[in-house]
Amino acid sequence: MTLTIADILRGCRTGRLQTAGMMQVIPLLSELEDHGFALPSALEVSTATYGSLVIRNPTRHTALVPVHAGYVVKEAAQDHAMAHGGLIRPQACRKFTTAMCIQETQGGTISAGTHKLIILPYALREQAHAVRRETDYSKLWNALRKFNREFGLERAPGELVRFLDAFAGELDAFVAEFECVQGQVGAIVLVDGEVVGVERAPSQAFWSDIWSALIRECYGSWAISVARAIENPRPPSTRVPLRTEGLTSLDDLAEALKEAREAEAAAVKAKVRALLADPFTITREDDQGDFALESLKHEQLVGQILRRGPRIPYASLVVNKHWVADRAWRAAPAFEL
Amino acid sequence: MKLVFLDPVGGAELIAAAGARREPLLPGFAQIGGTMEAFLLDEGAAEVFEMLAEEQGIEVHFAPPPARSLPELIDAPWDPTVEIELQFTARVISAFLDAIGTATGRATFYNTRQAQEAAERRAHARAFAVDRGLYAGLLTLPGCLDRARVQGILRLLSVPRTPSGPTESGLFPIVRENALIRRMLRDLPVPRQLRLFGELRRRRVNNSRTRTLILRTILRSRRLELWSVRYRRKLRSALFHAWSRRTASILARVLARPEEQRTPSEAALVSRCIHRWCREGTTADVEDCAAFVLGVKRPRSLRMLRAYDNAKTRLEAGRRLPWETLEGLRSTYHPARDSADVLSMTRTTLTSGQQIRLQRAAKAAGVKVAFDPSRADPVRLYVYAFAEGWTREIGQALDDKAAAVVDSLPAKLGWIGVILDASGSMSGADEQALRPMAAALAVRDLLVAAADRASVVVAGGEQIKRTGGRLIRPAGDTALAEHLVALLRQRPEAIFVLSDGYENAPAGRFAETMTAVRALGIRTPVYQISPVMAAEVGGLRALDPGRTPVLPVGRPEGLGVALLKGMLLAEPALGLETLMRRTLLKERPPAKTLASAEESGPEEGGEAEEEAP
Repeated sequence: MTLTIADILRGCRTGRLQTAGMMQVIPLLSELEDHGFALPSALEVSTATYGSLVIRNPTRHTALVPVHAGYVVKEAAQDHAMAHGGLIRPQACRKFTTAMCIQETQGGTISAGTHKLIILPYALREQAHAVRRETDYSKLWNALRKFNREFGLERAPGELVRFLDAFAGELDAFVAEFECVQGQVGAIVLVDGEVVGVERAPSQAFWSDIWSALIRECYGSWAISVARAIENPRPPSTRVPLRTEGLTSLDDLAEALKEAREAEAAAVKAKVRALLADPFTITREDDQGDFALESLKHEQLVGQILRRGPRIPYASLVVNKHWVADRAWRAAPAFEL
Repeated sequence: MKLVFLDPVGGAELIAAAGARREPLLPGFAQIGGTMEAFLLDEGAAEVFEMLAEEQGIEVHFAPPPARSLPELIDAPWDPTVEIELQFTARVISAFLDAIGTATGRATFYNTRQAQEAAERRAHARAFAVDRGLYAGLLTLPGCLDRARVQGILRLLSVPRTPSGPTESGLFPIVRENALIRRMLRDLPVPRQLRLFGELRRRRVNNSRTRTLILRTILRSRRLELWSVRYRRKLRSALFHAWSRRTASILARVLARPEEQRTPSEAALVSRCIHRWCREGTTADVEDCAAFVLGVKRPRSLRMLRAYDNAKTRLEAGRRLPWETLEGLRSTYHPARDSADVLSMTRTTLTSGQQIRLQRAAKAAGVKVAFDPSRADPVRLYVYAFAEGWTREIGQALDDKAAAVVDSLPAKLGWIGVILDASGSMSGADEQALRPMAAALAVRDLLVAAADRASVVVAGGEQIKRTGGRLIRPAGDTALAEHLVALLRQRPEAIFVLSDGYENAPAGRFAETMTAVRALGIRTPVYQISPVMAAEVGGLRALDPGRTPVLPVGRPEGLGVALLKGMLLAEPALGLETLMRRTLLKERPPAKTLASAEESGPEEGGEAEEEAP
C-alpha cells in the first residue's frame, strides 16, 4: 500500500496564506472532523522515572498524544518529551518508557497534573524520531547541546528550557503574528520560502489546542534560527511585494493587491505541489483498537500519522534536514551549453 | 537611537554589558548636574540596557536633559538641540498616552503580564522625568484608565518634590498637584481607591500629603456608612496607615467609651484624628463608622452598622447590606443557608458590575436580577453581550453612551471611513477575553456617532445574527489593505483603522499599500486606533510604522486624547503646548466620563475596569 501527502490531506482545502517575517503558514481547512479524541490539554502528565512519561487520559475518548509532545514544568523536576506520538484508551493511564529527558542538569520527577504542552523544536524532531524506540532518557542531550550552541547559548547543557527562556520574546511573537482561522484543522508551514512541516489534526478543537505549541516552539524556533543565519534580514522568496510601478489610480492599486495575493499563493502552492505525489515508506508503530499509529518516511518528509480505518485524522511530518541542506543543489539549473 | 541618562555609579558597567557606545550626544548633554550622564545607544543596545538595569535595580531616566523646562522648551527658538529635545519629548509623552489609554496590566493575546507591566512602568517613569506637572495633568484626561491613575498617584506621592530637580515642573505649585491627585482619586471607583491606600501602606509611603489624602477621602465621604460595612478591613488598614497603628489602638479604646467620659486629652485626640476631617454636622456618624471599622463594640446609631451586627444572628436582618457583605456573613455565621437567599434579599441593591457578574448564578438560583445596561460602561456592555446575548436595551444603551461622549471630543468628524479589524487576535488573552474587540466595537460606535457620515467595513470576524451587525466575534486572519483601498475609493475625509496592529496576510501589506496610496497623491488622513498595549514595542503596535499615527483608545472616552496624540506626533511643539494647556494651565470641570455616570449607583465611583488581581 502506498501513501502520499495528497492522501493524508484528503478532504482539506487551503485557506489564505499568512506571512510574517521568515515564516508562512497555509491554513488547512476541512469539514471532515473526527471528534473522537481527547484534547491534549485534558491529559494528566507525570514522570515515573527518568525517561518514563506517565500520561492519564481522564476523558471518555481515546487520547492522542501529539508527536514529540513535551512538558516544560515550573516545579523542580526534569522536563520530558515524547519521542513519538502516543495512544491512550479512554479513562486509562499509559507509561511511555521511550520518553526523553530534555533538561540535563535538573533532577526530580514531574508530579501528576495538566502541564502546558510544547512540541519539540523542528531542529530536534528528526533526531527524536530516529531514536524513538530507544529506552535511554539521555538520548536527546547531545542534540540539545548542539541546538543550544546554534542559538549562541555556548555553555548551555542539554536543556531546552535554556533556549525557551532566552528566546521567549521572539517565540511569543510567532503566536502573535499568526492566527487560527475558521474551519482550520491543520497547516503547511514554510520557513524562508520552503516547506518545513505538514500538520493535520482530527478537529478544529484539537488543532486550536496544539496550534500555539506548533507555531511557537516547533516552527517558531526554526524561523528564528534561519533569520539568525541571514546577515541582512529579507522576506522569504515566496513573499511577493506589492507592485508600485505603473499605478495611476486606486483601481490599479486594487488590481496590484490582487496580483500580489495571487502570485504569493501560486508561489507557495508550487512549493507544496512538489510534495504531493511522493509515496511514503510506512512502518506500523502502535495499535489501540481501531487506531493505528504509523511512521512515515520519504526523501523529503519524516513523521507519524494516525489511522482510524479509512480515516487519517492526524499527521505530523517534518522535512528532513538533509533535504533542507541540499536545497540549493537541487534548485540549481542543470548544466547546459 | 535612544537617549539614556543614568547614575554613573554602576551605570557605566551596564552600558559596557549592553555593548553600547558611550559618547556625549551634544555639547552640554554629557554631564547633567554632576550626577547624571548621557549616553547614545542604538535601539538594540538600549533594550538590553533597560533589561540589565531593571534586574540590578539601577534607576534609569529616559528623558531629555532638564536644562530647559517644558514651557521653556516649547517657547525656545528653533535650533537642532531644541528639535531633538522636542522630538524626544513628544515620543516619550506619546508612549505614555499609549500606556495610560490601553495598559491594563494583564496578559494580552501576545504579551505576558510581566512584559506588559515592565513596559507600562517604563512609560510612566519616562513621562514623569519629562515634567511631573504634565505627568499628573495627563492622568486626569478623560479616557485615562483607572489603573494608570493609581500608578500615577503612587508615583506622585512617593517621589518628593524638590526645588529644582529634574522632575519639577516650573509651572506647577504643589497645591495644584494635590488638587490633581484628589481629582484623579475622585474619578477612581472605591475599591481602587482602597487598593491604592493599601499599596501606599505596603510601600511605606507615609508623608503628610499621603495621610491627608487618606483621611480626607475616607472621613469626608458621604457614603462612609456603606463603605464601612462593605470595605471594613481595607478601611481599617488605610486608617491604621494614616493614623499609625499606635494612635489607632488608643483611638479605639477612646471610642469605646461614651463621649462624656473622655478626658480632655482623649477628646483632643478624637478631634485631631476624626473631627477635623469631617464635614460639618457629621462627627457623630463618622465616629460611629470609625468605631465600627476599628472593631470597637458599642451601641450603633447608624442603621447599616446595626444591620451588620444583627445579621450575624439573623440573616434577614442584613437585607439592607450590600450583596458581598451579606454573602460573607452568611458563609461565616449561617453556612447552612443557601447563597441564593442572599442574592434574593439583595438583588435590588446590586451594582451594575455585580448585575453583570451574577447573571448566571442568579439564573441558576432562579432569582431574577434586573440588569440596567444604562449603568454599565460600553466596553463591559459589549463583553456582557458576547456572553449573555444581545438585547435591544443593550443596543440603545450603547447608542446613548456614544452620543454622550461625542460632546467631549476636541473636534467634530465629517465624512469618515472605519475599518474594523475583527481577526482572531482581537479576542485578547484568556484573562481578558474579548476585551480588545469590545473596546474596538465601542470606539466604532463613537466614531459613527461623532461623524456626519460614516462607512464601516469589517475585516474578518463573524457577525452575530440578530444584532444588526453590531456584535462581531473575532475570527480569522488579518488582511486590511484591500479594505483600505475600497474605502479610499469612496473618498472619505479621514479613515480610522481599529486594529491591534498585528497583520499577517501578509505582514507589511498595509504599509506597502499606504506607500502606494501616498505615491498616488492621495492625502486622506489615515489613523490607526489600537485598544491593545504591545509590550514588545513599549506602546502600540503600528500597521504602518512612522507614517500612519497609532492612537491609543482603551475605552471610547479616550478618543479625544488619542486625537491629541495624533497632533503631538505630527507637530511636537504644538501638540505639547496643547496638552499642557488642556492639563495644566486651564482649570477644567471634573472629567465627564462614562465611568462617572455610574456614580449615581449604589457603589460610589462605579466599577473598576478589569485589571490584574
